[in-house]
Amino acid sequence: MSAAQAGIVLDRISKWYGEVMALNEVSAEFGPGVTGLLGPNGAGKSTLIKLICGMLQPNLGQVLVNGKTPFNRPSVMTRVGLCPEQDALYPQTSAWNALTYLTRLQGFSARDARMGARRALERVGLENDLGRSVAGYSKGMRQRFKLAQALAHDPDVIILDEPLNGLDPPGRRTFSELIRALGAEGKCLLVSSHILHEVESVARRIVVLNFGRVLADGTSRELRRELPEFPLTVRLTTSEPAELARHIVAIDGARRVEHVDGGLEVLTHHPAEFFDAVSELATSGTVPIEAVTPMDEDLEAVFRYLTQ
Amino acid sequence: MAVYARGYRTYDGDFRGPPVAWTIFREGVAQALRRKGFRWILNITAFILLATAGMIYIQVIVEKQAQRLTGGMVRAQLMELDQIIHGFHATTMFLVSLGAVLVGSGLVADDLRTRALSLFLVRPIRPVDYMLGKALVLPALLIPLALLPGLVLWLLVGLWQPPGETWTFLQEHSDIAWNVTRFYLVGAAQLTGLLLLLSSRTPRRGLVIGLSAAILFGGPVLRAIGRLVLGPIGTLLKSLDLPNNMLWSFTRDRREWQFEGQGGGGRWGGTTGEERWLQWQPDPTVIYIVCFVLLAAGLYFTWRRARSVEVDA
Repeated sequence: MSAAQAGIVLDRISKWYGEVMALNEVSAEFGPGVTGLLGPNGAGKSTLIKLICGMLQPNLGQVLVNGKTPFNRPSVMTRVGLCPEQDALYPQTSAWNALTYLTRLQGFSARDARMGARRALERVGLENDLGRSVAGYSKGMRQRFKLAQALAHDPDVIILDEPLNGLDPPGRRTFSELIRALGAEGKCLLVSSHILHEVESVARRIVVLNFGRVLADGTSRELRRELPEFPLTVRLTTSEPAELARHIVAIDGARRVEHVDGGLEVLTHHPAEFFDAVSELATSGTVPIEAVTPMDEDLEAVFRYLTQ
Repeated sequence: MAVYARGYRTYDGDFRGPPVAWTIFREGVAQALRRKGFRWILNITAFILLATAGMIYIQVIVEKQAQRLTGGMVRAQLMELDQIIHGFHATTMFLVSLGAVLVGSGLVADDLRTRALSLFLVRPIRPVDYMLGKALVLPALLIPLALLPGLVLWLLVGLWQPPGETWTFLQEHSDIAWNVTRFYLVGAAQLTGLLLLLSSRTPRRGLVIGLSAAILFGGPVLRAIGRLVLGPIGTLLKSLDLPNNMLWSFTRDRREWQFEGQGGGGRWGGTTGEERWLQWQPDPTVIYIVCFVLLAAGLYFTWRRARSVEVDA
């Protein structure tokens, strides 16, 4: 696939503010589907989004959105939608007016803009609150409005900066479903967040960013597999924890053993060898082992490990 | 990776609506008209205009009555129209300044404060579109405050002339229409420039209101200091009284009735009334320079704002 066809291409981009290095030789490609951009505060996520949206120019390297450099090229933005992290709207205007206006700025006629605005507001579930002032909206409704303004012109590339912030659990579920649906439609979605389970719930692919560098890129399972030295906590359910503990401490990969309710929790730096040893122990019948459950094979643990 | 296999459609859209600058301008005007304070200013100005027109009309009636009584030989002295319009502008100058500050202070500052600028920057808007759209708002809103009233009065008085004399009157007094237009253009240029300049520098609208109000209403102090200072600095100081610049642009071609009211054409303390009056007024060329500099600075910083957020980063 050529770079011209891909949604977003980052080619060794670096960006610094004075002496502060915000991004350091970041390379990545984002195509159709949902990609999670994950990193703690100050990792460089916002800078990356601004570079993709053409608000900033990289000091080194090249950003391509739909094959074109976005900085100082507003036509690129006809196919890009941004849902910013902060509230960004005219609070004294009704949602309907504000969204129609923002859609008209995409180059639509008044009629098309109204149609696009209505479609987008319906899609995010605000069709019953069109005439209300955005100032009177709850935090969740404002999030929905921000997403609507990013969707109203039917862009190919959608960037969502902390989209689930401030949403209640039902709102999060609805939002996550909507994001996944957009990804399934073939749109290129980049979802930035520092809340890990949020990203994991919507994105198959995850790019971990910290200190301005890409630390990891892949699915959470791939990331986990590619980190053999990553410590893993395993819960062993047994009726005889003391006896089992005696055997576990003899296994080479076990680093820490804790007695918990109903069994043991074991920390290992060599999960593969540890699982082999536990399997042997269970099949030998020396000590009863009812269940073996990896406790932290999720993104949270991977992220913690990568960013520490 | 499989995720890239679906490819990407190229952009096949085009601009079907009006120019983006026009859309931004329209929204700016609509927002201003949603402000209750500005609507009040428009209403008060309209009321003063009506009152002034009514006063002129009564004078016309009196004149016609006098003509009938004296067999049409006596023509009552209608107060000079340009004096009336000057009086109107002097009365409403406070409203013009206040309206400009109310509307202009939020032109860019509101976009910065509400972070709407970040939404503009991810739309296909060129910095020049944003700049033009914002720059046209204040001149448009000043039309009903500073241009139309003068022209309406000029036209009304023309229409109230005896049958067949309307066109002659309007032609004879066409300089009034030009002076009103100059009054408006100078005001639109310097107020737009000043408020864009301040509004694009800070997201705090209150600060913009405070600074612009201080500049507009503190102008007479600067002019008074400028009268005492010789040379280019004095000339410059005198031209920083922005409301006076507007009034002076209106009256400078017909200043004879001004200094008559300041001691007549006679000598007083070694100077004539006209000389003393002129000591208080700035050089017209310097007024144009101030207009140009303010407008250029306001446009430049607004353009720069819409170019990138690099300056904020």
